[in-house]
Amino acid sequence: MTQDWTFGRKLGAGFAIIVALSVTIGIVAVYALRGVVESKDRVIDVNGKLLIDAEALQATVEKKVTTARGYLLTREEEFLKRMQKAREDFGSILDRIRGNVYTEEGQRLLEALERFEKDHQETIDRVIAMRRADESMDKIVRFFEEELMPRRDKVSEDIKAFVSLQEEHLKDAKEASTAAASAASTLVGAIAAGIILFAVVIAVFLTRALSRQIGASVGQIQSSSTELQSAANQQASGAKEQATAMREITTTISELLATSRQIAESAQRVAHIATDTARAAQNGEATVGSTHESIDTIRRQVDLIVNHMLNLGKKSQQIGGVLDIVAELAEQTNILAINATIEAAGAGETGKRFAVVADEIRKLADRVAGSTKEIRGLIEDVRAAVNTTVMATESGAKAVDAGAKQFGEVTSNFKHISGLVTTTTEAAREIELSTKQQATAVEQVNVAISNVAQATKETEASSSQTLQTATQLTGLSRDLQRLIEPERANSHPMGHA
Amino acid sequence: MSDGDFFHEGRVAELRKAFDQTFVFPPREQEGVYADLLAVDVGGDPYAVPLLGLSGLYSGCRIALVPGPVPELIGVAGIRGSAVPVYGLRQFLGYPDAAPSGWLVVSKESPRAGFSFDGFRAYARVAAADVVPSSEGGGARPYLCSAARIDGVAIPVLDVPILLDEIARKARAASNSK
Repeated sequence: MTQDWTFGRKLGAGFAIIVALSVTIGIVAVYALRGVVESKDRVIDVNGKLLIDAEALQATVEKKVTTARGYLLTREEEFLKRMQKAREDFGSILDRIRGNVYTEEGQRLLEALERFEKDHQETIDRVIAMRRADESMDKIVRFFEEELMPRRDKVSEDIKAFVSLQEEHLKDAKEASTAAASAASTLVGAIAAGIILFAVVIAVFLTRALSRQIGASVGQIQSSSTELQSAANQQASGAKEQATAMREITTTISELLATSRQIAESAQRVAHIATDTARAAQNGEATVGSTHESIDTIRRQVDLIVNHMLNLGKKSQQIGGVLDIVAELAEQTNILAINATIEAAGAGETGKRFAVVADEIRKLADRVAGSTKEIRGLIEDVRAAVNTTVMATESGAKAVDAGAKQFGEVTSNFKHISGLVTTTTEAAREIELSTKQQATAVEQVNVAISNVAQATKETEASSSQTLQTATQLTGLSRDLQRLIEPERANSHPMGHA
Repeated sequence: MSDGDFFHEGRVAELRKAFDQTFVFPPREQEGVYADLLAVDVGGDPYAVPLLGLSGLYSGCRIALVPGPVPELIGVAGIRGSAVPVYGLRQFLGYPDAAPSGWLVVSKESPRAGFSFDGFRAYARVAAADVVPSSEGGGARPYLCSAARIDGVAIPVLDVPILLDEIARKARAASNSK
């Protein structure tokens, strides 16, 4: 649990324990000194006072004896008053002594002393009475010597016994006081030694705990400072790269801005061109409509041409039929001419002139046959031309149909194109507007990028500062480690730094 | 038009002029020795038949097929009121048989005989010098004894009298074999 304590808490706890032990030893010392003082006071106040009082008792007894002697000698009442005063002092002293005596032996001796004093006083009173009775001095002296003095001696002996007892008590008290003082000194010394030992243990414990904890923390600080240094290095290099990238981005943004403006201008031109195109498409649509009507007219004309060509083909066929008859006539004429030539040859001399005529007829027939062949070739050419023309015309009609159909599609396409061009115009205008907005946004981005670039420069400077701080922190942690654990600091230098 | 020459503007005038000139000059008599030939088509090849041995040229004749002792006999045709036997020149010249075209030449010598061929090409009058003897005169086909040069091309000439002699010989041979 103490591992989670802070340094201040541990130090406070250690000092609190030391203070508590110091307070304890102080209390113990106070109690011990107080016991010693009490023993001393008891020796001084009780035993010494008892001795003094015992001596005072002895003095009062002697004073009573002296005053009694004085009265006996002088018979002055003043001595009796003094004697009475001494007796009162004796009583008061005895009462005081009785209050301070705490042993049975002492009480017994005091009771015996009180009895002896009473007996002594009664003896004094009898001798005083004898004096007052004017008895003889000898008797009085004798009585005094025989009765009073023994009693006085008895009292004195009892007082001496009491004094001896008190002296013994005083000696015992002295010894007890000395023993108490020695015990207190021993106790205080033992406690002090314990406190010192405990303080040493606590100091060692705190030193180890703090060294271990601070060492671990310093190690972590070293590791963290190393990582911080590495991170600062990376951050510094990253900041430099970021600054370079920011410059490139700024350049790119500037190019993008120029491009956006060009796009906006191009989009504007596209919008104008699209508007012109839409107008041209509308004109083309109208032109296609009129062309479609022309195509219908051409289609009708082509149909007429086809019909005429078909009629021409039929006429050519009829001519061919007639020509066949002509050719056959020419052939028969030729045969007849040949046969006439044969007959003329058989007629002898008279047939020669006829043979000439027959030859002329044959030649005419040959010429007719040749012309017929030419005409047949021409007719065939005409028929082939007619057929070709008809086919071409029909192909043309089909082409016209296809053209008409395609023109319909063209018309539809023109409408579609017109719509698309309108859409394109709107799109181009939207592109122009969007590109202008984009250019504005790019300008804002450019400003933001400039701010970011400035921030990057500041970050780069801050990274350098961080790197410097991390290096200083690494040095400080190494110094701190050296202060805490020099061996470890020397054996584990900061390699990463 | 396949032949543009027929359509030049002077073509009709040329024809008119040639036709008119035919009647302008006096009839010219053939001078020198010449031979009149009929160019006919047999099996796709041209052959010439001398006009002297013929009595006539006919086309569109109907031939009634009849068997006969001579293998080259096709049938009989009616020529100006008389029945004339018709022989096929294809058979004489070694061509495969084919349906008669109707073209006939009829011999002048009696008994008259008709010879069928595939088509009539032209009438040709050539100089006698252009008719020369052929190497096949003494061979299997003695009637091809000469050849004539017509328009620069030499074509064999059928000798009708020799054909008639060949027919008579084959007829006699057939009757003798019976």
